[in-house]
Amino acid sequence: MSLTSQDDLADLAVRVRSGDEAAFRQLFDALYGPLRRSAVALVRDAAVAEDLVQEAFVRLWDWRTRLEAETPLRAWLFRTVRNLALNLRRDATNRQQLLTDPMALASAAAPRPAPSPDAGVAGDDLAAQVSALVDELPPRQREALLLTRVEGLSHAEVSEVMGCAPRTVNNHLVAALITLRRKLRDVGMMAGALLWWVP
Amino acid sequence: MTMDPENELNHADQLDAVLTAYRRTSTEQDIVGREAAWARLQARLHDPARVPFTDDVPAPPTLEVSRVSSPSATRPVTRSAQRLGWSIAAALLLTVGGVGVWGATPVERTVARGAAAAPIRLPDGSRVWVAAGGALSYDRRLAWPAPLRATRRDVELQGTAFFDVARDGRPFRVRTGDASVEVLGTHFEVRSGTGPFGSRVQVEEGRVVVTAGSARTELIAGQGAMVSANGLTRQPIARQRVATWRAGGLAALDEPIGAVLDELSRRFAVEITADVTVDLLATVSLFYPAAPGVEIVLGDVCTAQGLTFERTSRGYRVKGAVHEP
Repeated sequence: MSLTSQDDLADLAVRVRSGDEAAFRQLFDALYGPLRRSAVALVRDAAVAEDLVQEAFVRLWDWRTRLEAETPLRAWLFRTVRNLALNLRRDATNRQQLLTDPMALASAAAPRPAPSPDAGVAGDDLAAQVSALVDELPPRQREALLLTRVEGLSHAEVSEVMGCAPRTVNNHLVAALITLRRKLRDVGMMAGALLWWVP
Repeated sequence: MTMDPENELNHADQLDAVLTAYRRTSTEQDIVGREAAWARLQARLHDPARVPFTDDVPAPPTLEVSRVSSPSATRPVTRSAQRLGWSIAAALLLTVGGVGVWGATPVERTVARGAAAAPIRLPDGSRVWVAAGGALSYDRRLAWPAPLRATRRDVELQGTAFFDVARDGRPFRVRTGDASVEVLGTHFEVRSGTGPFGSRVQVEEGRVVVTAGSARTELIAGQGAMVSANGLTRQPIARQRVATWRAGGLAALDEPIGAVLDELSRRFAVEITADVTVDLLATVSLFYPAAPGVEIVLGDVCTAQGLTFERTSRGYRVKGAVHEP
């Protein structure tokens, strides 16, 4: 995808504000995947995640004329998806507490199944394994890592999305990388990673 | 396990490569669903029954009801048509009355404690950045059609805000509990007073008139004033540092410690208490161009004043220096 450079996004943002549907489409194409991924990481349900992303784009379209020219659209979209996800989680937690369904609680607390021993052999599973390791990170660390390293947002943008100082983003990131690196070494995946993905 | 830096760097490269691979594979899966998602989005956006997501659009009063009554003029007026006419007139009257009552209720915008500053565009084109923990209310009729349009632009402020006022001939007035600032078009910051600290005004561009009780003063770009017990006190300001908080920065020039702690508490959504031994009216000067952490600012304030602070369950407590007997 070539449309992710800051200049391209700023240009698209200007056109979207003036009601250019083609630009809106381009923005959608460029950011749908990244937004969906970050939503899945937050709600862990693809269908719900897709709804959230759609809601964010609907709001962007409805709000386009009142967004200030300086508003970084990409960060705005990520933040909107995140807020929607957090609202959803809060509502779900409230409902859960009201119902106090012992079965649901039990299944939520069940440990994730252990990966099969030969899963690491297949290269295709590598990304899945990495994502499994990433999933085990504490939520804030995972979020900071995915937004910067996978979606390519700047620290400033991530601080905008997560509502914390850039310094804090950096702290989360460092912690995440240290944990991940240690886990990858433990799993012995580094050699595999080198073989498969480094040219 | 310790590692030499070069080896560590190598690992970082590998990790990035793995993460890139993760992105690549999941992107390929996404494209399939993207088209369907776009179609779904289009269907939703173009659904005529959809109510667009907006917060407080000052909708112009609609008087389309009158169109309904015009065809009846060609038909003989029957009793039921007469009754219909009366109900339409009543509905019209109610609509106009309702719009009038609705228009008279101000629009209230609040910014949560701990939230980042984002500009609010007022219907007259002015922009206002309200700092965390602040609230702004303004007349709903700012940009209504002529006869119903508000003749003055009065806004009420609690907390801190930076104003970029659009010139449109009507005076623009910001009122806080103890002061009022009147302008025609300019850039300035107002902070409403809290407790013992009076409201403060700092002008970045243009000219404003500040009134507090019977005191009245005119400020030009680069000047500031604060409401105090004996009226208005002029304050020096650094023009390029006005409203640095909009970009996450923090600036204070000879500010009372109490006011700085209030601001930190609002900005970071934490509770900050001070022991009675702490002189909250002692002044400090601070400047951070980029977003500082709360502990960094607290640390600097305390170092400057010979104070200490500690964490509490809900925030921080600032304590006076321990005096040797």
